[in-house]
Amino acid sequence: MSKLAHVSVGNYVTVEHLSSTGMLRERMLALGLTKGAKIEVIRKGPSGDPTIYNIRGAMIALREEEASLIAVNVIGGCTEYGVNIPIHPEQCLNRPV
Amino acid sequence: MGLTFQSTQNNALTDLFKVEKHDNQYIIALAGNPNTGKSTVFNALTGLRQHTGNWPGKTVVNARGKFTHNHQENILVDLPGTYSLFAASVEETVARDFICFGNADAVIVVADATCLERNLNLVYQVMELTDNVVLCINLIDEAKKKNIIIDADGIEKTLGIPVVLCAARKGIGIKELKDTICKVANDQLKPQPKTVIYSDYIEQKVTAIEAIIKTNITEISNTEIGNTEKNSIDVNSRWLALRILDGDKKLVDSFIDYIDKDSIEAIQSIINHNSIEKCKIRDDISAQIYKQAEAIRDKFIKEDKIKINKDRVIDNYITSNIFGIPLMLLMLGGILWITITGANVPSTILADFLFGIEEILTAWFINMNAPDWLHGVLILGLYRTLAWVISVMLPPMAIFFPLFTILEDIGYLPRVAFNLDHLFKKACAHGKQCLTMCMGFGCNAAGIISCRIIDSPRERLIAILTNNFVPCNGRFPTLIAIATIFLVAKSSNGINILPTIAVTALIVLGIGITLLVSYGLSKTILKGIPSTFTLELPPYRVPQIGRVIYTSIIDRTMFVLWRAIIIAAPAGAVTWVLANIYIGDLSIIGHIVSFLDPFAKLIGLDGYILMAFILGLPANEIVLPVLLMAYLSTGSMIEYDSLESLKTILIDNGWTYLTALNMMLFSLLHWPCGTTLFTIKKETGSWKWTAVSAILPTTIGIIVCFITTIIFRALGLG
Repeated sequence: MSKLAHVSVGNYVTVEHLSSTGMLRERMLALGLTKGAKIEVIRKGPSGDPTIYNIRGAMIALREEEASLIAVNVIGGCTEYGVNIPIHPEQCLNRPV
Repeated sequence: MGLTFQSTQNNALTDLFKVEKHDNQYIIALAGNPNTGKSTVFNALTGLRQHTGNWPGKTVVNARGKFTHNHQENILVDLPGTYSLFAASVEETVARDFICFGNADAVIVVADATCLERNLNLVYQVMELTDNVVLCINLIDEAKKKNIIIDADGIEKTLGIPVVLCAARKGIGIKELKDTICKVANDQLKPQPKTVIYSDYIEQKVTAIEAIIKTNITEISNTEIGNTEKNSIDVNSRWLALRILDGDKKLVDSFIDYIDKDSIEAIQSIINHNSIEKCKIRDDISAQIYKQAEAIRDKFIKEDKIKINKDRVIDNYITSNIFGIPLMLLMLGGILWITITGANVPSTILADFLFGIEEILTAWFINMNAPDWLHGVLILGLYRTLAWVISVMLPPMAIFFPLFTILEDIGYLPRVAFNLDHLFKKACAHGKQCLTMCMGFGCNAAGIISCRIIDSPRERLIAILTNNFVPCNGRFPTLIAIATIFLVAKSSNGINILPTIAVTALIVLGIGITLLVSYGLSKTILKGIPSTFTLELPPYRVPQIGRVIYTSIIDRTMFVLWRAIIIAAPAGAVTWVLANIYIGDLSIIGHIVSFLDPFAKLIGLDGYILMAFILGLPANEIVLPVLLMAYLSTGSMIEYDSLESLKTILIDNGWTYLTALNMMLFSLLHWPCGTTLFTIKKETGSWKWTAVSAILPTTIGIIVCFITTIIFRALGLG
């Protein structure tokens, strides 16, 4: 298990648990960050933060502070393609992480 | 920019409940995730032209409209966009309370066809509250482009509510939506929502609590939840039981007085969980709703998985760490260049026309043997200022506004917020402050209203106090006019980009000051660390260029003309009177100017300029016209034919490059206009913060102008 903030671009993860509380937790749940949800790490901003994630089909930007509160399991990645190549999970999951 | 003349006149979210309705009318609520085209659906249903934009949270004031379909009259209420109804934010509370207690006969949930899974979360939550739900899957045209195929019948059967596929921008599916919603509202059609069945341990508790609620609370009058409407409504008891279980404190507190002690104890013994278990229940409820959403997605939505996502390719450049920020500056420069270049021609035409009329009117006054003072007040004061405002200020506004709106429509603004977030984070400010700042380019008052999208009070206050540091549409023309006059290379007839660069630099300076002041406030009177940031980047959409240009020009034109009539014209008349009533050997203006002059000279301006800024308090667009009026009323009259003649007026009155620079700087950095101050008072509810919002930029403006003056004079340029 690792923190979402530490997962590099191009990887796919599933949500394990949230350590956020209060309103932020509600917001995260509302966006679909429930246990088992699959997330793709899409890209990082000009200074490496925030990061854009594909959460349930929507592109959501989270700052590092928020992404650190999400524990995830890495399930696959496409990092060998480089950072910015758009590619779909199904093509990717068969490849070694 | 999203808020326009009309929408800023609307009242706050709290007025949402006051729906006046007749017996034969039906109330229909429009709910949905942010940025699903809810406003477009609203416009398509009502035929109104509420402003739309491609960024989440745009609709911060509620809109209401009527439509009649098959002789049935309906009142449509546009609720704020929310991701859920768990009442985490103000918008969510409002949306939930309206659906619960707002007497709505039916609810339309608008969902984005390209992101249905996430949207279904809200659909399920609304279905738990009321049976009368219609799902409107909007943006079906966008989905088609992305090769997303949606089986509406399948979804309809699974959810048990009517589903309408719709492309509101093109009017596709609107008639069907009207048919369906009318039938649901008047009970011809009874949806049978299949709500989520939760885990056994939750369901057991819910059943037990529901039983107590049903026997002990027969009805919950909506007055307890802050609504003043008279009749009581029975709230869905299963939903209430669920909220008691997952601990919606605000809601529970509001009706706890109406249950007897034994029942409360009975309920508490059923709940009997600590905060960790409570958290787990909430997690499980969300997870199970999303599981259903996933199932629907897998079964009824076919996506072309191999097709390369075009948005991501565009984002490779737009949000690239190399091109992102330069592209943004280039885009801004481009818009300004088009504005500056494009405004010239209509400006000259309008000036020729309006000052032509002035001559005719003057001739007419002479024929009538009208007294000089009457001609002075009406023509030289009132009419002339009106003509200045329309000919000099209107064209740049009418060009800039639609261009910016197109950027908004495409979905560019959230990318700007994304690109600049690291800077706002360093300034301890909220990431969405960048969005509210962008709104300020249209109108600072609108920008301040849009600060409602920021949840944290501290960061909202910072965003409100710094909004004035970006020039609004009323100040752009001043900046543009002065930059154009003073930075045109003497011999060149070709393209001149110097004014564009100057205005762009000024905006960058404004953004820089926004960040510095935000940082300063965060470290002093508004201490704190930045709160959470979740920003949705919407898909790029093709802007409705024709419609944007049409509506924004009409809206801008009406807005400026209206302000010209109610503010600029009287200000012009007053200025003329002040310039022509003599006390001793000086006119009143003369006295004011000579009083202000020593201080104004210290910061590289003159008494006239400072007076124009003071008289310009009601509206920034009259500063330059009033200034010209004041100069002209005391000196020789010059026929206006081009910006060149403006230059002559200014140089005759002792302007130098320093004066021009400081005029622009002071225009950027001075007190907000009257409307903005009024809005700040309304939004913060505090005279203290309103005063801070006026003193802060003025102090900065004076300091900056003072410094430039010293530098210029030290270098012997001033």
